Amino acid sequence: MPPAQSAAIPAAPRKTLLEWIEHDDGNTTGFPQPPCSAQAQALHARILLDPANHKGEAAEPLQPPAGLRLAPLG
Amino acid sequence: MGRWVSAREATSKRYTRVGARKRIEQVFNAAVLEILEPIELVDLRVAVLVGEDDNPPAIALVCETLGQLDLGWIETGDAPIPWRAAAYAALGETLGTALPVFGYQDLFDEISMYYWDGEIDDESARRSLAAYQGLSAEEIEEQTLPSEMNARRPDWMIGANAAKPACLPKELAQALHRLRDAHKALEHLASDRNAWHFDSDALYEYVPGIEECSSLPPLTLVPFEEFARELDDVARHGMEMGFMDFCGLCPLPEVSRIDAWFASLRLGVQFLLAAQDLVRLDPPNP
Repeated sequence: MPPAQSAAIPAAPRKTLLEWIEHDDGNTTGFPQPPCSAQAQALHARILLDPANHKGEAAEPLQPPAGLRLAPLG
Repeated sequence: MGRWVSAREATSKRYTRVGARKRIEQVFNAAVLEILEPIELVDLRVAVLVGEDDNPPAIALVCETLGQLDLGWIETGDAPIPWRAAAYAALGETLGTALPVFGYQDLFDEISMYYWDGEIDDESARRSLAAYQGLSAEEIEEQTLPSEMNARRPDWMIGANAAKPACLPKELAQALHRLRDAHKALEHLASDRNAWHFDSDALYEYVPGIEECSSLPPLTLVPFEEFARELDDVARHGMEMGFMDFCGLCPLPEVSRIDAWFASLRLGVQFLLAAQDLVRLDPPNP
């Protein structure tokens, strides 16, 4: 016996292909930046290397941060 | 890529590591964009990928456009049906060599697999709807059946309506001839030196996660006007996980292959320009 129609879980609402193309979301080729706080963004800006600025390049070997008591392994 | 760029440099200027990287990207990007510039039919993107596990670097060519290709006068013009059908058939037979595109037969086959267990005539489709989906005779009558779907095609989509080349106006016959010639040149390329070709196994190696994507290409020659519901059905997986939007992936085991890649990129662009000209032609009525 086929299951009663009323027992079926309704399909989740979704956009049609045309709506989907027009709104241009779900774009899998580019990864949007997740939203973050101003504080996190400032941190990212400090971490990112400035390709035109050599000061941005970390010296080798990497120095442990001041707060780390044990020397890094390796 | 660095060696390819340095062979092209007029001066032997010294660069820092970062500066050299920027220069390499600049020279390569400019060379690619100059070649792709005249194409407006679709948006294309090029990316250089690093190979893992001893694989050489590779250049990927990806299609960024999604949905129905603009068919211009072929879909909406008032030229005679045999002319429009001839142009549409020619695009259907050739475009897939360069672009990730599917046509009516692909859509019909997908829908047939989805709903009719691969059957292609009404009687067998009715039987499979009853046997596999347990539908009653009444419910089956509400379903789309193969003949109804086929009948929804406008006359210009049907290849049998195409005029013979000798019966076409000179301008249109020439545009079709140019399209076929450019297509032939593209087909003659060796597959390992072709910007518009990819091997699925190589794609899985270079692009982790791509196997999660739908196998459906992002472009179609099927008009939304008549087949919006079917297109929406088959595109569902692609909307969730991404479409198979690669035009080509060309591994480069040696520097000299970069020139071959560029040569093949140019041939593909000439072919797409021929297709673009055909779509924009709009031959005047007799």
